[in-house]
Amino acid sequence: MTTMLTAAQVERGRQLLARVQDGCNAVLLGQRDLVDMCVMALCVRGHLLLEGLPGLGKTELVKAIGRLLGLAFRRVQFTPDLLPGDITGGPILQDRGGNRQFVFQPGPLFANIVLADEINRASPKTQSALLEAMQERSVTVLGETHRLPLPFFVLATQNPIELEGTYPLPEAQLDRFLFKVEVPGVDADVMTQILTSRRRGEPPALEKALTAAELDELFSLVDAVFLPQAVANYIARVCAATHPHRADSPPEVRKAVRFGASPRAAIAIGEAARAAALLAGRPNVDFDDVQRTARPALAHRLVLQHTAVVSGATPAGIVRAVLDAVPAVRKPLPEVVS
Amino acid sequence: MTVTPAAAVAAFSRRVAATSFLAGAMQAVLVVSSGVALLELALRCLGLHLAPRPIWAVLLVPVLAGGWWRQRRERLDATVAAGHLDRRLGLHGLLLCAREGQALEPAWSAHLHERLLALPAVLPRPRWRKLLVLPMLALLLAAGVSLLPAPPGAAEPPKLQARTAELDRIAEQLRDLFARGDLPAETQREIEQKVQELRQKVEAGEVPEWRDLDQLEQQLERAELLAAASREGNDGGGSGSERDGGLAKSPTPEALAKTAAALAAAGLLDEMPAPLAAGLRAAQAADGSFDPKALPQDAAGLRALAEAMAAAAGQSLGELAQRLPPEQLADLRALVEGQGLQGDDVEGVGRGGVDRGPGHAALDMTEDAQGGAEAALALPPGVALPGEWVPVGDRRTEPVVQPENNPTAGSAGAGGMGGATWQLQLAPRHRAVVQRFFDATTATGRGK
Repeated sequence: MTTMLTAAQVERGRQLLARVQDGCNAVLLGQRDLVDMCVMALCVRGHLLLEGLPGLGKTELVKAIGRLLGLAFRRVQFTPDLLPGDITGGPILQDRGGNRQFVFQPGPLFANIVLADEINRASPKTQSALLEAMQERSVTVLGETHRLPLPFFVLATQNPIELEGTYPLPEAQLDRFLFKVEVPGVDADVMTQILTSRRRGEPPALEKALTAAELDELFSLVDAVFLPQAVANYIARVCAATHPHRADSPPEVRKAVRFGASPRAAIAIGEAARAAALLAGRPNVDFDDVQRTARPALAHRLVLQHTAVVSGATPAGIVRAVLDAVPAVRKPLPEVVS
Repeated sequence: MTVTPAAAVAAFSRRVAATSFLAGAMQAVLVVSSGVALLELALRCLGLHLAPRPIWAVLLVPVLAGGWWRQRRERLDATVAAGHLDRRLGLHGLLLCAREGQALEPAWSAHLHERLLALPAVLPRPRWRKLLVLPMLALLLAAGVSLLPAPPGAAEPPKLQARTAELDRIAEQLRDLFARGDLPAETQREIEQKVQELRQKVEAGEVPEWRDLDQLEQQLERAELLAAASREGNDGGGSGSERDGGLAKSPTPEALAKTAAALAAAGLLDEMPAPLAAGLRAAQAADGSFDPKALPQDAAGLRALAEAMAAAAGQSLGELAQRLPPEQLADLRALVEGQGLQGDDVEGVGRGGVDRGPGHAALDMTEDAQGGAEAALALPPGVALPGEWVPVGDRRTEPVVQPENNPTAGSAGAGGMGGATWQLQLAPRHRAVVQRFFDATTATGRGK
């Protein structure tokens, strides 16, 4: 028997999260859901991919997170001629006490928060240089493995694939992002607020919201959120239902999906759901938390058939169909009871 | 009162199981009732009627089985039930945690127990309309059709008819025996009670076993024989054959008077012992009939007279068949058989006849049929039967030759009868081949 978080601990976690949320909302107006997703991803130390048209505030949001958490922050502008060594760093010949030797010069990846801006403008080779960093939190150059500082987040932004000069991220790279969040546009009221409160669009100055100790405390609180077995089973069934060859998959999946979600996707949902539960003030994960986090965690992991893409199917729509088809409780109640 | 999570989950599961059982049973009621109604209607269309009977209670078995099967199929395990209950109570997974053994802080525990108080309100409720409407309609239909009066001409099943007739026959026989005083009252009551029980079974729609009816009849015969034997014992005995077999019937003066008339008509009175013949002649009226009152009235006298008459008539029954009218002949034969004798015209056991089995069939051992292949051929007098085949004649004749023309000669193939080749007709496809052959022969000079 383990002990669940107390009400006081849950309240403490909510307070810590609220500080980060408030800071982000002050920078990015009218995007509360987006901010919540970002905060959840940070709480479970997951990488985040923001997709949206230019000018929607993606980069500002990531910069704000960096300032709020008070962590080492680096920004890499991905361009088509960017090479892997440009972001991982490499050996440089240096003269040290009369001896010339190669000394490893860390690249911009050696920071707590790395903003990979317009990540899909770099070539797939450079994109893949992030694989090891994102998964193992380490970088290997010329046979030497260098540990990255912890916590380590990659917050990437990308333009929609339809834009010119973009390279789609490989599936293996996409799978390493906890969430892929689409940044929606804002309505006229929000735009009016931006125009009246911001000169030249500059966001307000932000103070550091969390100390390193508080960030550690937040991480431990999220880790202590309990995931009941029934909810874990629900996550597993949702992920399994994204596979087109299973008999219990919804018809949309069988028709449109080529490859379903990996176990890493189920792990991502489980972790993100813990953060969602803490955000909602609960000591345990609920089915609602899974439904909330499943779409951003699953959509970018599904590989669709070309014909389905042409006919207008979207990963988000497929995930919605899966969530509609898979009942939260494994066995539904008989139809003769209400 | 506090409700523990385990108890709440158990209550939830029980409610679901009970509702599932009810749903399965109602489904079975729908099927069974529809089947009964359709069967009843079909029988009515055929002019038959299937009245409700206690045996129909067997139909409860599929109903209960249906409920049990559905309850098993839709039974929720504790985890699933906890999931549903958690969602219904709005506990957001807290009940699941408690069920999985997580230690809840007092604040969460209080919250959990507070919500569990609302358990009765969130327990699943049967959808009565969905559950009951169709099955009840089907049940009412079946009951209505079954309770309708039987259609005119609806006959009992043949099985019951035969048994009812047999019961009626036994009851009538019982009444006759009792009325004649041949049956003690106790035995009559006993058999009557059994007949009554069997009749009640028949009325309830059950089909009694033929074995029971046979036993009843045998009991009746036994009782009758015992009563007769007892009566004979009381009368001071009788002939040996009567005591042993008990087959002789007690004749009545009227019957003997009638039979005596037939005996007199056959001229057989003289075949009887002289005193009895004299007694009979004294009782004979001028018109040839006999006065029953003039005959002996005691049982022993009647029996002696009957025996004597039977002995006289039994010797020549076959001959009398040519002389007496059938009624009188039947009276005589009844008398003879009633005394345990057989007439000389009866082919019984030992007389080339069969008196058991499915029918009476005389055995004919002779082969005197005329013209048959197996008819006996009489040998000339003085000729012994040869021990082996011997020639009886010898002659020579020339074979008769009648040549016949080949009817198929000249047709294609000549039917394989060896007709001349030049007579054969060639099929067009063959003709061209033959023509080419001979032309080639001529052209090369091979034929020359």
